[in-house]
Amino acid sequence: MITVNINGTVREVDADPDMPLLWAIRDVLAMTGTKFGCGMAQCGACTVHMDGQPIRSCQTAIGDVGAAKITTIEGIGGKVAETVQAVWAELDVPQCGYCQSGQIMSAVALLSENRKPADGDIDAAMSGNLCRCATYHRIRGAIHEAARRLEA
Amino acid sequence: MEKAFASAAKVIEATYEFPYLAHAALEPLNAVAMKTGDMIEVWGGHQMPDLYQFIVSQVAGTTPDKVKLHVMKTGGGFGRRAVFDADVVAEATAVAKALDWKHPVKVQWTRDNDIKGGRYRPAYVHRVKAGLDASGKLVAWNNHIVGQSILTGTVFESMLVTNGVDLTSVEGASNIPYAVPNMKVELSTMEAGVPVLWWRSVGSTHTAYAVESFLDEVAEAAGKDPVEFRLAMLEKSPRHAAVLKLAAEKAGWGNELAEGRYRGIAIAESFSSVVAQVVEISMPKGGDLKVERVVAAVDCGTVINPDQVKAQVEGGIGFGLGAILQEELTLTAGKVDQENYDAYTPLRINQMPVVEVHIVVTDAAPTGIGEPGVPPIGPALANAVYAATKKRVRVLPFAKGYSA
Ligand code: FES
Ligand code: FES
Repeated sequence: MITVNINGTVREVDADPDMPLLWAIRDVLAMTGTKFGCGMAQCGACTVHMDGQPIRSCQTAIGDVGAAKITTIEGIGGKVAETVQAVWAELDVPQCGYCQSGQIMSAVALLSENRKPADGDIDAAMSGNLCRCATYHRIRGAIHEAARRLEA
Repeated sequence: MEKAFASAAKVIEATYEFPYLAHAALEPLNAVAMKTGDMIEVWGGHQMPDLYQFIVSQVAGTTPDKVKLHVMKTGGGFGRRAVFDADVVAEATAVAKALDWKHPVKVQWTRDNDIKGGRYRPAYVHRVKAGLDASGKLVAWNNHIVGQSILTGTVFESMLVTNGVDLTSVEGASNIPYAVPNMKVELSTMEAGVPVLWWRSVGSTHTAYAVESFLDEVAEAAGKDPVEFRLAMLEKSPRHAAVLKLAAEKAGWGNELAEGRYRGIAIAESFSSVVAQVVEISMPKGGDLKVERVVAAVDCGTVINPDQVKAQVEGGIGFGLGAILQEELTLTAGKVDQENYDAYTPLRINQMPVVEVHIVVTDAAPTGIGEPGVPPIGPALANAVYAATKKRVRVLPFAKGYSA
């Protein structure tokens, strides 16, 4: 048994320590908001927060999580996350939606660190998150809009 | 035809090469199959449920009324989930059956299964030839297309393949909207062992590029502005003319551009909708190409939800741009060379231009919008790159270098 702190709760996970955190979250803990897209840190669909930092859960073994606090799309909260989620819905950012929990996790992490990201900051923080539907134009717009609302 | 070319004052010709493309949808293919009582149940992103129900019944050795499909919300497929043999669905069913239906079976393809697993946009070659009279009018047009057929040998063959011509190989080339007195479009269908499939906007993924970027060359040979040149041939296609004008007007076609900025335009009809796009790029001398802005005009008939139309055109532009700039599926000794997004590279956010979408107000019957945003972006970009470099891009993707 491996003990992890996930979304504010300590959970026992019956898994091999080598199992990628992504599969522990999806298949063992049955939280399916975090997605699998590449298994190789190329797409960002599996992005979660580890102590507030965005990480690719397909590249992190469950045995390496230790005492770090993991947050998934099911567990994010607070002003930044709520603002991002509200703007995302209002601007109708998602198309198929498959990449969007990863996009939101990356966007929340960006806005938590940088309240007024310029286009270059958005490129740097978000270019690891592929969207095959190419909703990028709206993702950029939504991040700027969320930044405006967080400032107000 | 031959006579028209023989008497033309000027004849120009160009060859275009298009690679295989993968759908590379973000959600890799998956399906779950199990048996409950005498019912076979299959969960998945079933894009053609009637056909899949039939195929599952065949694989399971039962009748379609004993097959229940659960059509799930699914990641965008771009054509990959509308596949004639229901591949991953049949696979899950076959495995569950092989295990005597004792367990539910989930099949989850990995990314490399997905990229190497076939069903690509076919590779194509186009040769296009145009004849102009002494006044610069386009009097003869010949487009010869070579490639694999998507639909031959599938359940759609009887509907969409006529006299050996697969409609999806020539759509966008055989029905150009321009009034050209002598026109001939030819198709040579090749066989190759590479499994192929439709890919967002299907034939127009390549025909629009060949037609609309070559037309820019023809306009130049005629000494005419690309918009004026097209409009003069669109008198009998008022819908196309209106869309082209709207895009040109909203983009400020003809207005002077800032230093290092260049423009290109293209128009294409697909899925019965017409879309024109003006692309603005920046290309400093010796520097990298950046797609800055795309102004699109759309006529897709009656619009119920304009924001959805805009979203689809924005997405179509990003989807098409990735392919034109940098997507290519290659094979070495029969094996696919790419296996993940490091080698097969869709567009990322840092490459996405600003997009503006303008919708023609009409009460005509509604037409498609999921795909028509894709075709014009390639040729519009190629035409902008020509404005910057005086080089025509005839071998795709652009990542191969800007000249043939
Ligand atoms: S699944 Fe982890 S980055 Fe793609
Ligand atoms: S919304 Fe479909 S992959 Fe991003």
